[in-house]
Amino acid sequence: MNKFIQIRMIPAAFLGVLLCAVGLLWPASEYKRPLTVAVNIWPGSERLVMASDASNTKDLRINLVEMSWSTAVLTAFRKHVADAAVVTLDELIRLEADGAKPRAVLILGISKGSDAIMGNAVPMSMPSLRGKHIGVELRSSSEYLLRHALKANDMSLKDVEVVPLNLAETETAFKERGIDAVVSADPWCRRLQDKGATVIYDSSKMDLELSRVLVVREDALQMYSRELHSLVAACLGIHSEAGSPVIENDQDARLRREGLTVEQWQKSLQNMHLPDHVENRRLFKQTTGGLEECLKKMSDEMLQMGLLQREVEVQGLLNSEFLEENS
Amino acid sequence: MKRFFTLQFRVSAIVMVFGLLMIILNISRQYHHDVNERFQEMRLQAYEEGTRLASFAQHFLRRHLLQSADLAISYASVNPDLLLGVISDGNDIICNATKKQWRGLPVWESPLSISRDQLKQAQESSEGMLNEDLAKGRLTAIFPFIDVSAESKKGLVVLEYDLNWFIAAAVSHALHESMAQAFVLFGSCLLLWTLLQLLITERVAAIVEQAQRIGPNEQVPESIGGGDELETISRSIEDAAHRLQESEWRFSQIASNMRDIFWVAPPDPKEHIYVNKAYEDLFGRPAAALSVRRWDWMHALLRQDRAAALKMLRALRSSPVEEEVEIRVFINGRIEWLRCRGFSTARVRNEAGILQVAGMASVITAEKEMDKMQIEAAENERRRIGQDLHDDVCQRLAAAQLKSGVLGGSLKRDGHPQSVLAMDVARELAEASDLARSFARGLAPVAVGPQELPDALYDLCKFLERAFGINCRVACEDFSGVLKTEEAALIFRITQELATNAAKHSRATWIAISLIRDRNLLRLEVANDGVSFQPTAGTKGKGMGLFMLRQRADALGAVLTFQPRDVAGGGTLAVCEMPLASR
Repeated sequence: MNKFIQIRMIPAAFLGVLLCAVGLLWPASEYKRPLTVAVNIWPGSERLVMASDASNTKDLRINLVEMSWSTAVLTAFRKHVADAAVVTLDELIRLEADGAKPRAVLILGISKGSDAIMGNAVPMSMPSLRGKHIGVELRSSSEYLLRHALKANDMSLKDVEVVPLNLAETETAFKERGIDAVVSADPWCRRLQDKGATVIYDSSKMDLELSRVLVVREDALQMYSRELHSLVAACLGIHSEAGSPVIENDQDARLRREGLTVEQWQKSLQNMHLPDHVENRRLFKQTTGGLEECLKKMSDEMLQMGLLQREVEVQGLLNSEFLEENS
Repeated sequence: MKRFFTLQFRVSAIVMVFGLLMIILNISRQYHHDVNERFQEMRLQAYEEGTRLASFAQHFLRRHLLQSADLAISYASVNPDLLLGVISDGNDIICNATKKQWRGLPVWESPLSISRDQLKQAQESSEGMLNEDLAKGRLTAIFPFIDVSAESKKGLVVLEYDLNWFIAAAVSHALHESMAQAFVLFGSCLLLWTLLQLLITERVAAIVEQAQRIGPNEQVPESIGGGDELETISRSIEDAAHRLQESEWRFSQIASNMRDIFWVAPPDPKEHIYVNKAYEDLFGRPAAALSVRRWDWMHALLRQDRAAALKMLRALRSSPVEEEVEIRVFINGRIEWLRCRGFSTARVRNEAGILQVAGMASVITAEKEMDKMQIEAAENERRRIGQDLHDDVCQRLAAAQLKSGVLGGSLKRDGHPQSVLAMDVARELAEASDLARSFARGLAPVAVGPQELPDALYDLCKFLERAFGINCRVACEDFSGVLKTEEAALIFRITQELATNAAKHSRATWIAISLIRDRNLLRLEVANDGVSFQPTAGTKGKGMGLFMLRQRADALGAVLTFQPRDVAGGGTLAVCEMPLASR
């Protein structure tokens, strides 16, 4: 056989094999499920809702699932119903302990009084709650707040009567007889205060523990990289302290979502701090006074409180990749 | 361009086109199947979700468990296709929604793409309904429930789904699948093309080369391997080539050892004429020269014979016949006679309709010499008999006539009555003497030599006028010292045959005989005004006269031709030309 022709056929054969390989390795359709973000009602999360609306395009689809209480959000994340969720730091540790592999990518807001133990109109103190019925959403940040407050007053959960209820129920439960106090958060806290409830203990006495962070399941970080970049960028692009332009009328969607009046909204925002991208980066990177230190402290504390069965490694819980590119 | 018409290209192209069609059909079918299946799935999902939420809403609203209804609808929003889901109470106010911002508003103020009529229609009906708007890409599920807290008016669960996403997903899936399949198809076709190149094209080229190298002196390439049909073909070609070579060898042995010339002239002028070895011996010219000059053999022919040879070739080229011609070639200072027999091969005909011609040429010089000798011997014998008749019988008859005349005169003077009888005898003897002399002249008309040829011709002329009653004229030059006696006799015989035949058969009114010297030729012309005579292949061998004419002409080395006279009266001109160059 003609050697020249044989040699000439080699590139053709190689190209044929290459094309076959390309065909066999051709990626499957990129049309994937939209990034599903479970979010709890909290005024500080409005920034994320707005960013989600802005980022949601035909190419970058984000499905925001609005839930009324924290444990529903945690369950959705744990069961892979949601790819991302807005949780507090204690809930982040709980998720990691449960093997859900959450990775915090953004601090949405730091609670500075937005979470509180609310008593009836009669001024009450923590020691006065001994033996009282306290409505609290267990396995959520409310439980952590209650335990933290009790511990700060040399008390424990055994010193009070815990009534399990969901966060959304706190407002109606407060009116019921037999409930002396509830552990709640804005916007319910704000409405309860307007209805005469008093703050017994709130998050302003705490550090970063009740900060709301956007967590993403580890395996979704790569899959939804573009959506997350867009979402984080849009979120940090909203510079207002209020997280949005000033609300001018009662028909604003955010007010309807939160169930607040303009006045209540403004007061509510005073109980939280919304860090911008610089502060976000600082809190993610900073070893002292940053998130990592706080998480370590909380992990130890939760282990002592019996909220964790084992020690949780907190080093890998933070992912500043999306903040780096938005700096 | 030729490359695109190869078997290799065609097979690959057909597979690719067929494959592409299959991909297109398959993807189209898959797409419609995916869309329909997903659409049915979504309808079912909407129905289930709507029914479930409607029953929950009825229960939760009756018990004022708005938070529970909130949670229930929150989980519904996990479905990415759900654009918006709301639960409205009996007063059409949204109390729960997947997007909580719509709580507290009338249901028609929400971005749901349903009209008030549709809402009213759903409330009046106790069953749920599904509305599809394919143009907008929306599927709306509306399920009523009884709101006890609002005087048992009908509340509604409305779920609006986006259909565009899964259609886009199906399109994307189809595109990706088709791309992947197309790449595999293109790659496979390229590999097939390569494989065909190696398995078919290359090996067919080897077989073609093998077939092209089949020839008497070529070494036949070995057959290709592979153990398939192509190897069988290649082996068959190799076997056939060997058999052909053996046959060729046998043929070449026969052809090279035969004394006769064997020749084949293909119809295509570009192809070489085949001649065997005898050609070079008989024509004295190299066979290789024929491949350069196709008509090289013509130079060996005597000029007078070329026309006859060409005429035969023309006849053979145009129709499948057999022809024969006798020609002379001049070689090594002597003239050789050849009898050429040619035949056409009807199976091989080129575009111009020319046939392949083949034939053989045998040397017949000895035969011709023998004929000449026979003619000369016959002529000599005839001359001897004529002379004997003239010198003996005629003299004796003359003497007898003289004596009987003297006897008759003597008897008459004596008054003897037998004198009359004696005078009758004398007269009979005179007539017998004239008759014998006439025979003698016929047998030996030019018995003395060429100088007597003109007289013999004049006598012939008188005979024709007397015997057939037609005009005859003779013009004859003196060829004394030019012709031999036997040649003069042969010329007379040819003239006699031509003139007598014309007088007998042509219904001519006159015959003109001319014997002149035309440069180096002796030219005999016998013309008449009768019916034209043109000897053809059909007339060959029919009459003895024509055969004898040709034989005598051949004996003289002359060329005899017949042609119609190109005048109004018609007639025939027979010409016999004899070379006189050496005299």
